[in-house]
Amino acid sequence: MIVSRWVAPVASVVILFGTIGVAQATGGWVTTGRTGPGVNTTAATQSITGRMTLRQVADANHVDLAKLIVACGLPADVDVDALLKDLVESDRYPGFEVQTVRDAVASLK
Amino acid sequence: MSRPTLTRAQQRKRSMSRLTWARRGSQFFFAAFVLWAAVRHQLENESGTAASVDALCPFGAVETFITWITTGTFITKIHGSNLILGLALLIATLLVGNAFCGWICPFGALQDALTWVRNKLGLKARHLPPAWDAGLRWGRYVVLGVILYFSVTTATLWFADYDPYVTLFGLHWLFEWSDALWVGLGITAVVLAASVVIDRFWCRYLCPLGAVFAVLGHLSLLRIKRVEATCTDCTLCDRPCPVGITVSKANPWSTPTASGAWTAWPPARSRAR
Repeated sequence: MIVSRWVAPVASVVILFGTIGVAQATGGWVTTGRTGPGVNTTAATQSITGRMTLRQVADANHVDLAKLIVACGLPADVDVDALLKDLVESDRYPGFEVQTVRDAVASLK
Repeated sequence: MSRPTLTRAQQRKRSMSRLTWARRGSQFFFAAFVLWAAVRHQLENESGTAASVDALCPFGAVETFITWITTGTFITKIHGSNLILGLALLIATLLVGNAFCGWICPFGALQDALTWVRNKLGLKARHLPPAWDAGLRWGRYVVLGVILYFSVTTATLWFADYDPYVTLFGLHWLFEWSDALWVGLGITAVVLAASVVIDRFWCRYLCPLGAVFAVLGHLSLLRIKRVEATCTDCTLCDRPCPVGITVSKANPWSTPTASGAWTAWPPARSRAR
């Protein structure tokens, strides 16, 4: 059987967007969320990035937020919903790095 | 005034040209979309609301698959979207073959763009000796094996630090610089430089997703079959494929594992099984 040369690319794109559409309709299309079900939290310790907040780090790694703040050497009034990279760039917390949070989480787990 | 009658070869070339332009349009769309997603992810005010390029890569499904099957969890930075994209490509490849590399993959689009620039500059592509070319193509399976090993043993998206696609399209180098990016940028620079010299260097010799497609392609319902008795050996079918698949020498099945092979479809006499 000879088929049109348009069949493969058109069908592929249709299947791609069709599958995404079905997934969105059924709630299976999840593109973000470090604390969602299925995330390997042990490994998540190693993947703490500047795009996470202290609260997200605490939730993802099942550590107490207050203890995490202390372990990081941060004051109690630190904004726990600020991105870590913003805290690093802030002049208020000299010496604070993302690695500080990774080490703190490792010590608390 | 009547239009001149085209020969069969001219008709085929015109048809291939139309498909090539459609392919370029598709490549541009998906590359632009991924860049838009990366910018949106980098500029988001609240962490966790915009998809990263990691979440939009079907290879993530391959990387997390073993961990998911054995433990029920994903490796880090992998989401449901990766599995959905992987499933979509699996279905598409099994039904109609692999069109992802030539029509959708942003990194393939970038390499094609480099080839276009090189041609505009009047520089010629380099071709490795056939034995070297055949041997180096096994590199894709080696890369795939290494990635699967470290993905399973570390339960992390281990390859992300070295992946040219993530390095380039993730835009961390633009918005979130760190010295850790040097490794990925070095690898990316080498790959892109090699891609200027050899068409689709990454796809030919190193792409782990290409290795998966190469295997799945053999199971596809739709494949190119060359009928030797009627083939005119015009080799028009070889020309669009930047990874050098010689459809004209298929005996009888040719697996369009990458890039433009579907642009050539069908060759002088071809069949789908």
